[in-house]
Amino acid sequence: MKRTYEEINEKIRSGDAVVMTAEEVISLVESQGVEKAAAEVDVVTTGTFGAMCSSGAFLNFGHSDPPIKMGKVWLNDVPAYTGIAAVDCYIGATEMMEGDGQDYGGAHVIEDLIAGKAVKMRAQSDGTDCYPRKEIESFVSLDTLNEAYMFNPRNAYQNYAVGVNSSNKTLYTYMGKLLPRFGNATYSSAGQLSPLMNDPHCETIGLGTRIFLGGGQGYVSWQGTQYNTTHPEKNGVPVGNSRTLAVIGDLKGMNTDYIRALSVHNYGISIAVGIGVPIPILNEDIMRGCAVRDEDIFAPVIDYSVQSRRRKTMAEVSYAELRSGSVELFDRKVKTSSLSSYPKAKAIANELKRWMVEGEFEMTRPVAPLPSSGKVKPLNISTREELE
Amino acid sequence: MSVHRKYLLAFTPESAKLPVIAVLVQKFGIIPNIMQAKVNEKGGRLVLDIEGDKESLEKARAYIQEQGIDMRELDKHVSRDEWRCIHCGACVSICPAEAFHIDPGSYEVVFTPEKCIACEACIIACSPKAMKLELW
Repeated sequence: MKRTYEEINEKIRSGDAVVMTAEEVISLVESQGVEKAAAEVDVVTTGTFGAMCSSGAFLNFGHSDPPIKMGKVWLNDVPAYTGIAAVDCYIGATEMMEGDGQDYGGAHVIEDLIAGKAVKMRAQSDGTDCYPRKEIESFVSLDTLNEAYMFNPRNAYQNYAVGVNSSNKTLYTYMGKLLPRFGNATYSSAGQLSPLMNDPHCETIGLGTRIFLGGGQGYVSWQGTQYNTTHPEKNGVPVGNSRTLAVIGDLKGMNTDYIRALSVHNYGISIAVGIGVPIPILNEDIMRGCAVRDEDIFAPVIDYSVQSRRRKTMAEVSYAELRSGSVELFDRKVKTSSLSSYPKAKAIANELKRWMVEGEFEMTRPVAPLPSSGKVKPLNISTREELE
Repeated sequence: MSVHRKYLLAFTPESAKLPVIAVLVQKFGIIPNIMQAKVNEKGGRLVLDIEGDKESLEKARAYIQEQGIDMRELDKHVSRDEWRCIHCGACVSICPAEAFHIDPGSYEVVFTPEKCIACEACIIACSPKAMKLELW
């Protein structure tokens, strides 16, 4: 069985495309087998909605009169990076409000902009001959901005660790609240619905792949940072945090149902980003990948009380076990909490499916593939002599 | 008829010194289960799961209020902003009262306020900030 992007898009245009979510396709493959399922289904949609710290947005404010070359800029008192052209900035999701605003940060600014709220912008400059203005303060909104696009250097992690805590004190981590003496375990992946779990070697996902991003349409723009292909695999899926995607998309088409600011206690600000990637069923192998179930996907259990990057994997557990509410670890039952939302992931996969069934979203052939291999280097403290 | 209810008692520094629990047991035949107890310079607060017959419960309630202790039934004090909740499940494993569970069909997080003991663990653990404590 072979199918082309052109054939799929023709079917999308004529309203004949058969689209199923990565969850729906599991029972189809179980009952009909891979060959029949591949012949029947054109596209499988995936989804994920979880904390993705490596996110942010480029904004262009337009020029004031007299103009200013912004040296420093704040949005609702959250600093944004403006070491680029005069009125461009990048607001990072994890940047925190100056002052006592532990619960407000860049992610909230992005959520507020998408919600259509007015955001207070304040900027300072030394002033130049061509940009004489030294200070400006104004409210801005998504409508007043020229461009506003999300550019996220690392999203949609392919698998992730399960957090536990062996120590005697409660830990507040980016993996949530970890209770002492293995009191709970937290995990963060949509498992069988997650984009990179369904195309584990990125055979169809590449640069330029059109995706669902935050409720609008976006694109895969590069491999994500810390792109890693070195973890051993189980059932064709790597066990541990592996491939990642850098994605881009217009803030103006987004929806706060699928972009949500998070404030992680004693850790900081993060942002829940909704991503859905359509997987074209070009052949049976690709369908086999999409049929992956939570019971086939395993995650490493990591002890977050070890404050070193050399944390060892203590056990491996499947997403089916994690999602059941508790896992067996070290001869005891440990309660689990998901940090990413499975119901939202499902809603995203369904929304993307609807777009395709209604002819609003066509598939794109990648302009270039993602790297076939990638390795994450540690940061070792070095001298200039050691490196030159 | 025996009833089962949860109450939040707020003490002033003066009333915090009273042996209220002992009186509830001895005088009113009530079975209290202490879910939470805090005492500090501002007084204190006590979360009680109380079992007893309706009549004794009313008498006990009158007694407690006579001592200048604020007593409120604990049913709607922790609430969830349904829009802000993303149904991740961060609250599920950290709630000592098991007031949250995952619906096995939809995987949505079900909140049962009747089980809540107002310990605030979920308020801290909820990163989209959907859980709110509404005390007087």
